[in-house]
Amino acid sequence: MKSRERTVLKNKIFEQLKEEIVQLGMIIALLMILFKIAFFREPILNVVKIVLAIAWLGIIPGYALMLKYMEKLGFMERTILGSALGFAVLGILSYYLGLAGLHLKLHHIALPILEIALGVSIFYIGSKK
Amino acid sequence: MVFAMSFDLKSVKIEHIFIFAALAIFLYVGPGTILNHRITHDLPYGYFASDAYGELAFAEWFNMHGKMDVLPHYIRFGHTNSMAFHMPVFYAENAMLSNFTGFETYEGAILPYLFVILASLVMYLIARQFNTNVAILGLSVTVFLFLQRFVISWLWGNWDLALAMVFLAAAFWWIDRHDLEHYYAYLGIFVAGVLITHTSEAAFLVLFYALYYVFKLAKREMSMQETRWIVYSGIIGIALSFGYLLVFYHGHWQGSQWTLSQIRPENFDVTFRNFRWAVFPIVAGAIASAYFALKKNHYAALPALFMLAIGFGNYFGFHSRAFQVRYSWPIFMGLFLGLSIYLVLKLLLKKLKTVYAAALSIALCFIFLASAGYQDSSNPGLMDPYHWEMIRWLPSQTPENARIFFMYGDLYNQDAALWIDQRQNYVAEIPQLIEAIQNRSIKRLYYAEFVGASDAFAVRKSFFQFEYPGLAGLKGYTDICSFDYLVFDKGSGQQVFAQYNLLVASELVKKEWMKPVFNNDLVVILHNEKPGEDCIEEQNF
Repeated sequence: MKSRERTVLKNKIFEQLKEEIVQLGMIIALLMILFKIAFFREPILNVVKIVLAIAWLGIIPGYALMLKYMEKLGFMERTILGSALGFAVLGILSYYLGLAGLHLKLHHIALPILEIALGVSIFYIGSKK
Repeated sequence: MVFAMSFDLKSVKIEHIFIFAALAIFLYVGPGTILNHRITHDLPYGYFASDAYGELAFAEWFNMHGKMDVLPHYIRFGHTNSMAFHMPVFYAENAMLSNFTGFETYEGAILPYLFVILASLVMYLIARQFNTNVAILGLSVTVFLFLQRFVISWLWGNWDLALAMVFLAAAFWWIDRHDLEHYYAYLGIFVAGVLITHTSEAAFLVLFYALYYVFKLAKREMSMQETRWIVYSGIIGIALSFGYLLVFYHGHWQGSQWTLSQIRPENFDVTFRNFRWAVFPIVAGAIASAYFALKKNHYAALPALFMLAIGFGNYFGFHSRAFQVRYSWPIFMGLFLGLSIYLVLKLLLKKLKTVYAAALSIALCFIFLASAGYQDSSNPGLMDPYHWEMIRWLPSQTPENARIFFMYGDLYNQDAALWIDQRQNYVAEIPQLIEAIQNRSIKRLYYAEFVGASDAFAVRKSFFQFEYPGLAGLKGYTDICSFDYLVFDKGSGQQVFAQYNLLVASELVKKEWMKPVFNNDLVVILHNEKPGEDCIEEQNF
C-alpha cells in the first residue's frame, strides 16, 4: 500500500474510533437510564456507580480488545462480544495475577488498564501492517 | 465538542432502539424485580439457598485474603493449607465489583442476572446471522430466564453457571468465524473462560466442537487450515486454564463421584412446559432450524439445537448437568421462537419491516410475562435482619479462633449462610435433637456437624504435587461445654425447637461463666468463659 493511501486509511480509522468512543459513552449513559428504571428505589449515585463499574470492568476493556476487528465487525457486535471477552479475560487474569502476588483488592484498577493497553497495542500493531 | 459533533444520529437504527427497549424490560423484570428494585440492601437480598451464600462467603474470603490459593480455615476445620479449587471467576468479579463501587460483597447477587442477559444478547448475534428479524422476534424469550422454574437456578446460587453461559455463547459465536484473522486466539480465551468459570460446560463445548467438525467434514467444508485453527484454539484454551485445571482435577474432580447416569426431572427442574404456550412455536422453530442447518447450511441453528439436545441429556447420561443447561434454555431458544414466527409472518406479509418485528417482540415479552404470572414483588430469601445482625456481630466481637455451637435455627440447614461469620461453626443435627425433645432430656453431648465445605481436602505441596490428609471428626456427639460461644434461636417456624433452645440456654446461664453477650428479638448468644468446664446439668424436664 502506498504511504498516501495508508495515511488516508489511518485517518479514516481514527475518525471512526472517535465516533465509536462517543457511541460507547452514549451506551453507558443509556445503561444508567435503564438501570435507574429497573432499580427505581436506588439513589442515582449508586446507579451511576454500578454502571460505571460494569463499563470499566467489562465493556470498555472488551471494546479495546475487539478493536482488532474494527473493519470486519460492526460496532454493536464488537460491543456485545467485547463485553463477554472483557469479563472472560478479567476472570482469567485475576486468578493468575492473584496467585502471582497481586492482591485482589487492586485488580479492579490494574486489570482493566492491562486489558485496554493490550487491546490498543494489538490494534496499533495490526494497523501498522 | 469535536467528539460530540462527530456522532451522527442517523446511524441509530430501529434495531438499536429495540435492543435498549428489550434491555429495559429484562433489567426490570429480572434483577430489578428479584432485588426489589434496589442495588444496595441492608442484608443479603435474593439469596434463597446455601449455594448462594457459599458464593458470597468465598468472594468475601478471597477479597480479604487477596488470592485464590487456599480455602478459609473456618470452613476447613481450622486448617490453613486446604487448597482452593472452586471455580474462581465469579468470586473474583464479585470482589472487583464490590471494590470498585464500595458496596457490600453480597450486592454481587446482581451479577448472574446481568450475565444471563448478556448471554442472550450474544445468542442474539448468532441468530442475527440468520436474519435480523428472526433475532429480534426471538429475543423476547429471554424474559423466561426470570420466570417459572428457570429463575430457580439463579435464586439458588447457580451463579458460576450464569457467568459460564456468556462465555459458552461467545465461544459458539467464534467457532464459525474462520473469516476473522486469528479468530482461534479469541475462541481459545472463551474456551479457557468456560473451563475456569463452570468446568462442566466445557465438556459440552468440546462435544459441540467435535460434532461441528464432523458436520463440516461430512459436508466437505473443513480444510486442513481450519483443522489446524481448531487445534490452536484448544491449545490456547487449555494453556490459559492449565494452572486452574490442575487444581480442579486434584480438588474438585477427586472429591466428586461423577458418572454417566440417567435421572428424571424433579419438581424444581425445568421441563418444556415451563415455556407455557411459547413451547409450540419453539418446537416448530426447532424443526425448521434443523431443516435450515442441514439443507441450507445455516450455522446459527447448530448451537441452539445442541443446547436443546443437551438439556435432554439426563436421559442419556448427563445426569443433573443436563438440568443445569435447561435453566439456561431461554438464552438459546430465541432462534427457534423467532424463526417460527418469522416464517408464519412471511406467509401473511410481503415484507416484514424491522419496526414491526421489534414491536411484536416487545409485545411478546409482555404476553409471556402475563401468561407466566409475573408479579412485581420479591423477598430477601433466607436472611432476616436478626440473623444478619448476629452473623455480622460474631466476626467483629469474637476471637478469630473461636468455636461456635448453634442449636436449632430455621436458617441453619442452609449452612453456608454461617460461613460468613468467619468462625468455626457446629450445628446441632435435627434427628438427634428431635430425639432429645421427645425424651424430654437436656444433655451435655449433642450430635452436631461441623459447618464447612464437604469437598476433598487437598494440600498442594508443589506445582504438580498434592496430598490428601483427610479430615476426621466433622460429625458426632459433641460436648457443648467445649465451645466458646453458643447460639440459640428464640423463634422458629417450628416453635417446639425454639422452646427447647430457650430451656437449654436457661440451664446454661445458671453457671456464672456462661454470659449472654448478644441478644436481639430472635437470637441470643452465650459466651462460655471456661470452655471445657462442666457447664450444664444433664436432666429430664
